[in-house]
Amino acid sequence: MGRFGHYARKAFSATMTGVHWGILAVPMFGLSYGLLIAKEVPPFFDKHTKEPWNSAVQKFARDILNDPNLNVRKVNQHGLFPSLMVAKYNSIDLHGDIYSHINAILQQKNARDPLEFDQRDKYATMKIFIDNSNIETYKGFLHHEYAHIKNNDIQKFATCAASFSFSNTYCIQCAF
Amino acid sequence: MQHALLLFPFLTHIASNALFKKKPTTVARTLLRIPTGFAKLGVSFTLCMLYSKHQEQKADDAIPNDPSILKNQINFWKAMHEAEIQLFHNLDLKEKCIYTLINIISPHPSHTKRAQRFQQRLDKLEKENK
Repeated sequence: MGRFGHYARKAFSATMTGVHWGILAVPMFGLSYGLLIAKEVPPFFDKHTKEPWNSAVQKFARDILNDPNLNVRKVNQHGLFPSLMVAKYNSIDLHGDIYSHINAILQQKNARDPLEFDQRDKYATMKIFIDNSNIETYKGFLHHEYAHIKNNDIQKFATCAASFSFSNTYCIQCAF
Repeated sequence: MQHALLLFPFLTHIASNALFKKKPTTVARTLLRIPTGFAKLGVSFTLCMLYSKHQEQKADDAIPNDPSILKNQINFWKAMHEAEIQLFHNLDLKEKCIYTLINIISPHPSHTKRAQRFQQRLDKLEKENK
């Protein structure tokens, strides 16, 4: 084999190695960093005390999660803030506006979009969440999500339903 | 441990190298790299989802042993299971296949498992209180 053949074989081998690792590692890399994107929510003031959200919610979060060292800014980055707000004000009434919309989607029977069933599944989840919503349910989920943050887990998402209800529009956390 | 996801591809790579010691010829090995890449991705992804399921279970276990919280969690997961059954009946065959696959590779344990686990904790708590 001449010099050209030698280098051609080396180049082919290197390309294939690149493709191999591209297939293997790039989706996992993307998934990993996709899950790590810090999420921000707009500034919020307590409607009763007019305090900034961080002090009002931090106090509440420390009480409800039994952790005097809890840093609400860190918690907020992991998307727990909307759940905390819903739990704090027990504002289940926020769900009212979207409830009819969810029901309408659940009753669609003729849609044949390939992703339609997935959407129906998500909306069904929302409906269940709303139907079962009370302060105790939220407390349970808050403890669950906070455990993820403390354990530094892969999953660091607040419950979508809580975020969805808080923003009163499409979920700001995961663009649902 | 959020970077564990990045570890799985390397683990599967090392494991497969250790497992298949007899190397094929250079050309065959080079051409095999694409299918083996997909195979290793599948293994890595499955490992990652199993690890996620374990983490979800650990987070569930961190929910305090308060009877009212546990009861609400049981009701919630049971309702979710019922909704899932209803949804499943309304799907056509192709959608059912995709939905089953999604459930298998889901990072969360099944709704029934979660409800059962909370029920066990509640039963244990009630026994202790008696």
